[in-house]
Amino acid sequence: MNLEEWRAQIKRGTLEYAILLLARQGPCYGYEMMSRLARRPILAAGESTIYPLLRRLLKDGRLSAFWQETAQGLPPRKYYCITPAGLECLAAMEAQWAELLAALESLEKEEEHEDGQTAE
Amino acid sequence: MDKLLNDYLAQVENCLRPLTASERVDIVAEIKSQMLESQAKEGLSSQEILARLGDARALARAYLGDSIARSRFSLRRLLACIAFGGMAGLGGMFVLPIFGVLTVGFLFAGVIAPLAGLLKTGGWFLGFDMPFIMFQFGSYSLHPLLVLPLSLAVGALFFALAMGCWWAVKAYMRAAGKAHRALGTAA
Repeated sequence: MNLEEWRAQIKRGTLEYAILLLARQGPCYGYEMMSRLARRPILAAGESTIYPLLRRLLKDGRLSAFWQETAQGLPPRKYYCITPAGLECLAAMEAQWAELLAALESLEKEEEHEDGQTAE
Repeated sequence: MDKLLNDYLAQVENCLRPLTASERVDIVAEIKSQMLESQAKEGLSSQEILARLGDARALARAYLGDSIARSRFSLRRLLACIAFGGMAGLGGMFVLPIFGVLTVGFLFAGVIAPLAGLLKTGGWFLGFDMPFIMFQFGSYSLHPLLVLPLSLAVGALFFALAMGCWWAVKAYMRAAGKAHRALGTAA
């Protein structure tokens, strides 16, 4: 099986969730989001993935954005903040995610249980 | 910012033409910010930055693909474009010239017919004939006395046709204007 492809699929399916989680912690600009995600390789994503996704979340009204000048030598940054609609969406995503984890966990337990039975 | 990075940004902006000017400016400013940030914080060279960003057209497509596939607004914009393009094309070639010329032509006929009728009937009363003015149906030609009333009716008909064509021109212009406005607002 192609593990890389599977990893890529997981990333695609969860990146939106990860970005909303980052934004909930406070205003965050694109470069910062990318570096914070890059510290967790399974969530790392390139510019051509992150920026169009941020734009879509902006258009959906789940994020809002503002430009801010920075200290000398650095370019102005576009900060993203989570909106009330984004918070609502994130809460729903968290519930689904918990459900997914619980479902996987129960499958794993079932497996262990069956393994125990066959071993006897 | 060196030429390499500026050229890249210009290429991205060029590929983003389907989006509005303000969207393009915003996207390019954000990529530029990303470039400068990675230069300042990671000490990356221009080549390394470009290698990470990948092909400019692919990056622009990622934005476009997203906005076309995901946003209803863009689809509306596309439909508005098609509507306006189609209308303006038909209008330039067909609708406006034909209805415009018909309006003027019918108006002219609507004025000329009663005048000619007046001349024919008035002439008959005064005792001279105008053979070049007549109503002829097959071999039967209308009595000069009846030419005036009929010519008034025919003139009124021409006038009504002229007004109809003028209305069509105005309706067309309104529709084209609406399509154009829709294009302006569907950003």
